[in-house]
Amino acid sequence: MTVEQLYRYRHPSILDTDGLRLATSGGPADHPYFFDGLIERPPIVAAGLLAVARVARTRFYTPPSMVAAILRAADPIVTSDGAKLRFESFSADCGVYARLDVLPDGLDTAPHARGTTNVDFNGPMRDALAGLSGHDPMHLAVGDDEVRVRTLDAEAVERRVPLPGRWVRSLAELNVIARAMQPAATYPAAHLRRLLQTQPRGPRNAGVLHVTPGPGGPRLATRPAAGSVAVAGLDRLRVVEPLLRHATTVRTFGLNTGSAWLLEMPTARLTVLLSPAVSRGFSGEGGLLETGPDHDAGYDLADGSTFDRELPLDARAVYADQPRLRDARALVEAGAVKPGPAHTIVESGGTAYTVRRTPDGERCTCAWFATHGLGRGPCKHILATRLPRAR
Amino acid sequence: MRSGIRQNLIMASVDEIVAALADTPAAERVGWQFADELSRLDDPVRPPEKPVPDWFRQGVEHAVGWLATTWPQRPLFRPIRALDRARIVPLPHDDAYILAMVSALGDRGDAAYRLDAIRADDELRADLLWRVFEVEGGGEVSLTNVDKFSMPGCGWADAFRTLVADGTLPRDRVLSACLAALGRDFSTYRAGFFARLFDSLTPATGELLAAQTRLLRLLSSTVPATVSFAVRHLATIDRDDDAFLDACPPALVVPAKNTPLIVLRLVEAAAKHHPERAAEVAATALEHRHRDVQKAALSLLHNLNAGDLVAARLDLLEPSVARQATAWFGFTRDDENPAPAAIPETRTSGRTAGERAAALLAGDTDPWEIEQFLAEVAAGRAAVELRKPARRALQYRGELRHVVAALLLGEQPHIYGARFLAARIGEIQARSGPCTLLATPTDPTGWLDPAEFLRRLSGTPEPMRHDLIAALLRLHPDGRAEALHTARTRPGDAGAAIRYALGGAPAEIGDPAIWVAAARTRAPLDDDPNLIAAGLTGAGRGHAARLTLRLTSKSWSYQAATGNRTVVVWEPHIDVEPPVTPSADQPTVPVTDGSAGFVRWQAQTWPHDAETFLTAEIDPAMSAAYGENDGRTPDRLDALLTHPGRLGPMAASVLAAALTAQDTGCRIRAAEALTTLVPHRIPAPVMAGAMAQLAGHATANRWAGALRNTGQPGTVIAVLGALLPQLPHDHPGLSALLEALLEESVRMSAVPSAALRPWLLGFAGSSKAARTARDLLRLDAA
Repeated sequence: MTVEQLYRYRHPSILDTDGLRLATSGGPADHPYFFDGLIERPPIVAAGLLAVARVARTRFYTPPSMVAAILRAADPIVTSDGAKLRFESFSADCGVYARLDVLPDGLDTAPHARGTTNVDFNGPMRDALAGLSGHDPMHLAVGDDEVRVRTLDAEAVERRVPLPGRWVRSLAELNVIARAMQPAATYPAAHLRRLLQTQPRGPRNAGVLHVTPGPGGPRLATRPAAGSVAVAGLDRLRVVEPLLRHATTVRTFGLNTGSAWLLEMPTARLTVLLSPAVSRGFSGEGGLLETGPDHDAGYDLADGSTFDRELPLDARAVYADQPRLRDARALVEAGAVKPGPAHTIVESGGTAYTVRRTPDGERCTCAWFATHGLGRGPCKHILATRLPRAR
Repeated sequence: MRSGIRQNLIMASVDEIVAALADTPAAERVGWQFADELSRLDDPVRPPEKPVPDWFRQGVEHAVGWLATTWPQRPLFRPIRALDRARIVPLPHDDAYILAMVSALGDRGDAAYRLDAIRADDELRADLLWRVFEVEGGGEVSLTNVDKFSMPGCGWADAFRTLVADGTLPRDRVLSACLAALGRDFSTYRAGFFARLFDSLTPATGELLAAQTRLLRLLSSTVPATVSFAVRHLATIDRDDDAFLDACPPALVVPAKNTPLIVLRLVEAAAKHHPERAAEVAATALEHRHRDVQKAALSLLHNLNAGDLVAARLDLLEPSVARQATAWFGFTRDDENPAPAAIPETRTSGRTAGERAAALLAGDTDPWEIEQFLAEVAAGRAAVELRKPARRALQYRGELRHVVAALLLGEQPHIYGARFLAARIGEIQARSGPCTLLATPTDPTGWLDPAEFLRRLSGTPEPMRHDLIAALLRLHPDGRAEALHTARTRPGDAGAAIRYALGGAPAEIGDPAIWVAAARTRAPLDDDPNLIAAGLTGAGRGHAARLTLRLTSKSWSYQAATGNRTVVVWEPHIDVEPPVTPSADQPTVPVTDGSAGFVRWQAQTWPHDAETFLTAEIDPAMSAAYGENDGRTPDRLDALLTHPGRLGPMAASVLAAALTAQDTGCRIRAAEALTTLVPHRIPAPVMAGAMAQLAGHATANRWAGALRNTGQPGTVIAVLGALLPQLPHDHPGLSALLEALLEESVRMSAVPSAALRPWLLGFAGSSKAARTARDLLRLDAA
């Protein structure tokens, strides 16, 4: 299932001698106007925005059947809570999430409005950001004031981007996943940079390795240890590399073979979440199957708090359309669930699967459960056995 | 008219081409077919008799899009540009248009097309041409890619050089555009074009001075090669010290060490006028991963008396550099925390037959699970309801799940290189009714409790032959005396062999395979005089196997773009003594070719000894050093780690081979296995001996990196201390191994062993290895 997201900007975002002017689309207004002021550390914000933009336009994993994916990426979004600005993006394969938080001490004035909107990150603006240097504060505008709006009609930008349903569901899953992540080791940023620099680049790094604290800095291991977090596809973590020279520390968080990396920088933070496997987007993690959708909130690992974020998407209905839940409902409707005293038989696709309860949770004889257990949420057969009881 | 393709074309007017295309089915008026037809367009183009139809306009637009992503190697952009210039088909000059120009303005093998097109087109030279420095491209179409696959002299860079040389293009604008492009957010591969073009124009000092601001900005590029490029040019000019010190810190931490070493020299020069600022900047280089950079930075900071800046970064330094820092500045360094132990893996317990079958069909290769599954199949308790998923899994020939699927479906599995396991499976499938298998292990490492074996045997009047052999080979050394007593009345040849296996008296030999199994479990690693006397001789039969690894090399040379190259490939040979012919029912006989498809399962066939099954695994383990390999080395390492029996030179050789695998994860796994097994299961000299033997095959840098990643300095010192004296002083990559030994020795406050010292003293000259050897020797004095 694919939904079409329409981005309408009054003008392309631009970085020039007047500063960085980000065009907005959708959210609390057609073109919200959140912020107009100075940012204290332009190189950090520039590098952070480039990292967010890079994630948005990258497909870290291409399924074997998809030889050359033509990528039309979803634009990053920015959220203003009246104190901070949070820029978020999501990779096209739904496996990498990045968020740059520009903290209050990085802004000379508080944002004057709240809400979430899309921002245009076009190529020329990215090129200009890449060449940004200097220590002087830089002007940043997120949206346009009324005076400027009147001059902009001729520059309008409109773009339609097909968003796969799993992209939208992945965004919704992130909140649940981030909440469940456990803090692990904290490293000086230089340690992480060294680790990344000593590893070869390329597709051979697609497996799961564990970044483990050790003498002289983190090392890679094939099994978890105290303080370790897993990295599925070390190359995906390289999105943080340009920011490491600005970072003081890197905090890590883990959940199964997924991980989060939080770079603490003067006046800003960058959070990157990696899915549990390169070939797995967040959409299939099944957290929402246990908790239900809570798509209007983000989660900040830095202080363990939620933040409001009403997504400016045309596709929110997709949240409820979880394929496994849909399949489970179909099984129930078809009368395929046959409870018994010791176990329940669920007939699906010509096979009778056995679901039973154990002290560690339900078990099933299907391939999904054999591969993932309950680590990605229940399989459709277990879900189906739950549904009749819920009724 | 140019030579080449157009020479053979019949040129046509716009009207003629429109007419020709109109007769073509719409589905074929796309991509190269459309562009090919357009290439017949007259030069110069004449206005058409009537406006071109909409489908033609759209076709031209599609052709632009097609060329923007596909490199046709021919000048197919010429007619598109001509139609656009003549306003016959006006086109937007967007990124796709620019990329189409990059793709197809020229010809792969004829430089003149591109040069003529640029010379003849004022608008191109004034505006559009410069946008090739702004649009990155990707896939087939970028300046880098087109040039890489064009004939020498026919690339874009050649065109720019020619047009600059003859004054068609302004030199300063080309130089400036290159630097601007390098400042953009382009990939490493595609940014390289602009650095090469800039360099090839050999800018004069004055031009570099004028470009100083741009070059300084490039020091913070995310592309290390671009940073090196900027540093190289900045080093040749009279720099603005303030601006340089402000801009250079990012260049001090790029991965390659040469760039930060050059930058440190420039910082040192600036320190004459700005000592404090220079010290702050130099301290950044202490964060670099390479100890040469750290040493250079430390030396500069020592000269600048900036101990406080070093103290703040002491934890980031390599042990040898930290040691120097503490000596110079009088610091004390906290002890490092040891690496945390790996969390033990938890096995899923309490699986039902269905859950176990599902797990195996999904790819689980745990030998314990497959043996439990076999027992369930034999007992008639297999999860036959999973026939449909089994049918899907049957396609995975060569994998364990294929065998599982075949057993569930009652079909014959295809098994390669595991003849004994195949025979066991065939026997189970041919049984007449439900039965209890004798060989099902009672321990996850493969052992079978002798008492349980006898209990099962008591309910099995006529055991299956291969099942009995498998069970005998798995008998645990403990509890044999009690079991022998229980077996005293067991009748027949099998009963006598069982008693012999458990330590009983010799008897007349009936079935040779059963007696070989009995002898190999009775005294697994010794010669058996009774079998030898009966003529059952040979390695793994009456005789204990004596296995020797030999390596031979083959080399060949070929002409590469960079010159003549020689490739050396090493091939392992296992000498098995005394000579013997392998037999499917005697799995203790070493097989030297044909790796087992299911190495973890195969390894548990004879828990007393891992060396035998590993004879066939060294060759594929060595192949892991290359891109093409069977991908089973992680399984080999798992089999090694969990094997309860003897490990020796074969195991060490597999480890040594895996330590130089191309795959990072494989090397890490091998290093973990090494620190688990050495020295308790594999003595350090045995491990070092195997590494010495494979040194020609291995990449020393990979060994060094893998060993340092273990976080177990004691083991690294023991292995390298025994390995290095066996290597020649000019062994390729030796310095990496010496550095690893030096750093781990400093970390452990260890000094070179007496056995190592003479070898270290044998270095002459000032090579990196020689210098590191001398550093190691100086540890004694410290």
